[in-house]
Amino acid sequence: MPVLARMSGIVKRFDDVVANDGVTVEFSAGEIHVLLGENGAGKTTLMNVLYGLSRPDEGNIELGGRPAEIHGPLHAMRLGVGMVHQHPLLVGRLTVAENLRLGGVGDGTADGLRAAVAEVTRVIPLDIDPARRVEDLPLSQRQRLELVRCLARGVRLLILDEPTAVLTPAEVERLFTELRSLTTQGRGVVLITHKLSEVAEVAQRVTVLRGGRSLGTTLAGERSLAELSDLMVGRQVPAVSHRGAGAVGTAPRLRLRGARVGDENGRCELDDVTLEVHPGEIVCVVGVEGNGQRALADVCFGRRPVAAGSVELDGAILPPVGEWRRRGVRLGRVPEDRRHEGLVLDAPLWRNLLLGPMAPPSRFLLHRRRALRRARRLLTEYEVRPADPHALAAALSGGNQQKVVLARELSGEPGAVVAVNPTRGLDVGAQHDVHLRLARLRDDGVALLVISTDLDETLALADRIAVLYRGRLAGPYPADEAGRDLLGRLMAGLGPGESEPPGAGVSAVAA
Amino acid sequence: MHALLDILTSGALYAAGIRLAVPVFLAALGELVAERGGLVNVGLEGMMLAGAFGGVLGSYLFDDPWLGVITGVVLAVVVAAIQAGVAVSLAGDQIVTGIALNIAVLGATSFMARTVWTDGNVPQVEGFDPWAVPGLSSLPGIGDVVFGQGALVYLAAALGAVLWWVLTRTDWGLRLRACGEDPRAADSLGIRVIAMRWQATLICGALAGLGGVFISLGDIFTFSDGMSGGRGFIALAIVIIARWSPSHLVPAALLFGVCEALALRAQVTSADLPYELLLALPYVLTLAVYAGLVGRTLPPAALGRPYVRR
Repeated sequence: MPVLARMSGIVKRFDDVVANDGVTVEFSAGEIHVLLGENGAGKTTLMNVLYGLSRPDEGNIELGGRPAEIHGPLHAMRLGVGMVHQHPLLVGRLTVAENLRLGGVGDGTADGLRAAVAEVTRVIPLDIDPARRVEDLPLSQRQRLELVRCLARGVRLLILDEPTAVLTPAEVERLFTELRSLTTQGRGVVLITHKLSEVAEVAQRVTVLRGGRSLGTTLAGERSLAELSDLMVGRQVPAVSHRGAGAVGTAPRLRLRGARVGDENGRCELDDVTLEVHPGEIVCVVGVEGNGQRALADVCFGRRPVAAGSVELDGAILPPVGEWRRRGVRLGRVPEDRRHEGLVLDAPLWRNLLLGPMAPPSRFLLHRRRALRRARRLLTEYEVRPADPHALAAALSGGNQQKVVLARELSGEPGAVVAVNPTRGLDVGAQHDVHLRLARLRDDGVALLVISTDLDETLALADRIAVLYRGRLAGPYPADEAGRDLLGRLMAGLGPGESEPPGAGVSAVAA
Repeated sequence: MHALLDILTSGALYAAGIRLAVPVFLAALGELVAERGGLVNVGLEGMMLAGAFGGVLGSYLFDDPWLGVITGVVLAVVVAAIQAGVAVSLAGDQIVTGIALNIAVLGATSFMARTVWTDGNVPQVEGFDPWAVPGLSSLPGIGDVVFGQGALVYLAAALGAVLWWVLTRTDWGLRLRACGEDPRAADSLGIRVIAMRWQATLICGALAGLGGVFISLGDIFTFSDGMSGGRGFIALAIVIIARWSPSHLVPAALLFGVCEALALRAQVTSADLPYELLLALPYVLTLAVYAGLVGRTLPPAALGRPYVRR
C-alpha cells in the first residue's frame, strides 16, 4: 500500500516545553495506524502539525511522496488529510448544515450540500437533522458530524483523536467497523489513543510516543500489550484494584432520595435518582457523557436545587453551597473542570488553598504568614510539584492542579467527598496517585461518590457501581457482580438482559 | 389630549420618524455586522460624527452632496481602521478602544471645523432634498410619508436588504457568523478570523459614516460640534433590541425615530407630554431585552473577545 504521509524529524516547542522531539513516522493507505501514548506524550501535537493547526519548528512532511508545507486545516483537507478532534471543532450556535458548509462541503446551495452528504453517508450514516443546532447534539453525534465532514471533503488520511472517550461500547464497536471499511476503500486511518484495548482491537500498525519522542513503529502483532504498556508508561505501573473492606456503619452519609432536576426546556436531566453512600465505601456512577452527570454533580455540590426529592448529608437536607460554611457542612468537592471550577488559575496556590466552604476559619484580615505555612504543609503532604505556595495555579500540570484541589478539599476532613471525573486528562502515574488518595480516604471511613465517564476507572475504584443513562439511575450493583458487559449495556440504555444490535447505541442517543 | 391625537394622526410625524430613524438604522446595521463577527464597536458614535463632519466638508469643498457622502464615509472608515487595528489586530480591549475613539473624534472634528471655517462658522452646504418617487409618492396615506424622502433614505433601505441577504444567505455571512460564535473553530477551518473581523469593522465604519452624513446632509445641511448627539449609542442599543437580527432592525429603528419625532413635536406644541420619557424609551427597552422580558436571544458567543491564535 502506498505511503500517504511521512513526517520526519518533527520538532515542536511551546515556549520551553518540547512537545515533539524529532518524531519520524509514516502512515500508509489501507491500514489503521494507532498512535499510542500517555496524556502529554505529544500525540495530538504531532497530528495537529500534520493537520496544519500548528507549524513544526523543525522537520519535514511529505504527502503522497512529495514534500508539502501545510498552511492550515483547510489546506490540509485539500491535500487529503482530515482530523476529528476530541472536542470537535464545530461552531455550536450554527446548524449541522452550516457547519458542513463551513468545512467546505458542497457548493453553497442546499442541494449541493445534500448531495455531498448523501455521497459519504452511505458508508458512515449520519442520522442527524441538518437544521439542528450543533450545540444541542450529544458529543458522540458532534464527533460523527466532524467525521462526515472530513469524508465529504474526500480526505484520504483520516486522523481521529481519542474518539472513543465519548462513545458507549456499542458505538465504539460500530465506529471501528466503519473505520475498517474505510481502509478497504484505500484510505488510511490514524487513531490516537492511550487505551491498549483499542490497539488489540483495530490496529494494524502501532507507534508508541513517550515524552515527545517516538519509540518506533511495529506491526500490531509484534509486541504484546504488556510490552506496549511498559513502553508507553516507561515504568512498571502495578495493576491495582482499590477495593475496600466494605461499608462501615448502617446510616448512609450522603443520600439522594428521588432527586429530580429539570433543565430550562422542561426536559428532565435527573429523573427520580435514589442513591445512598455509606461511610467507608466508594460508590461510582458511570455513564456516557451528557446523561445527567452535570446535574447530579450540581445538586451534590449545592449549586442547584432539586425540583423534587432531596439530597441529604448525615440525615439533614443539604443546603445551597453559600450556607455550607455557616452551617458547618463538611463535604469535599472535586469538580470536573479543575481549571475553571476547581481553581483560580491566576492566583497563587496559597490563595487557592484558602477557598471554599471548608477553609480554615478566618478573622477579618488574611493571616498571610499562617496561610503560607499551611499551604507549604499541604503542598508537601500532597506531593504537589512545585511545592511553592507562591506558584500560580495556571503554571502547574493537570495532575498537580488536581492534587491542589484534592489537598484543599480533603484537608477540611470532610465526612463525604463527591468527585467528578477525578482523573480526566491525567497521565497514568497521576491517575494512580489520585486513585490511591481516594482509596485511602475510603479506608479512613469517608463516604465517596465518584461520578465518572471512564469505565476502567469505575471498575478499579468502586465498591458499588450505578449507571446513569438519560437522567435515570440503574443500580447500584456490588462491584463484584457488575461486569463490563452489564455496565456497557446499561450505559447504552439497554436493560440488563437485552443484547445490543449494532448501531443501537447511537440511534438511542439520537432519539 | 386633543393636541396629542392631532400629532399622532399626522403623516408628518411618521415622515419625520423615518427621517430620524435612518441614521440610527444605518449605524445599527453596521454594528450588527461587526457584532456578528465578534466585535463590539463602541466607537460607533465617533464614526457617525466623523461621517457627519466629512459629509459637510466634502459637500463644501466639491459642491456636490454625493462627494460629501464619499468624504464622510472615507473619514468614518479611517476611524474604523484605527478601531480594527487596535482591537482586532493588536487584541486590545474593544470597549476601551471605542470610548477613546469617541472622545478623540469629538475633539478632532471640532478642531478641524475651526481650522477649515474661520471661527467655526460652518456655512450651509448642498444637501439632499426630498425626492418623491414617481408614482408611489402619490399613493394615498403612506405615499408622502414613505416615498417623499431624501435619496439617502432609499439607499438605507436598499443597504438593509442587501446586508440581510449577505449575512443569512452567503458563505461570507456564514464565515463571519462563525468568527463571532467560535473564532477558534473558525480558524481551524481555515477562515481568516482577523481578516474577517477587519472587513466587518470597516463595513461598520462605512455604514456609521453614511448614517453620520445623513445627520448633516439629510436634514440641516451644516455641521455643529458633537452633532451625532448620542445616536451611536442609540444604535448600539437598537442592535440589542433587534436581538442581532437584521430584519428586526427596521421596526426597532423606526420605533426610536417615531419616539424622537413625537418628543420634538410635543415640545413645540402645547401637548402635555413628558417628552423626556419618550427619549428614554430605547434605553428602557434595551434594559428590558437584557433582563429577558422581550424574549431571549443570546448575543454572538465570542462577542467582545479578541481572538489571539495560540
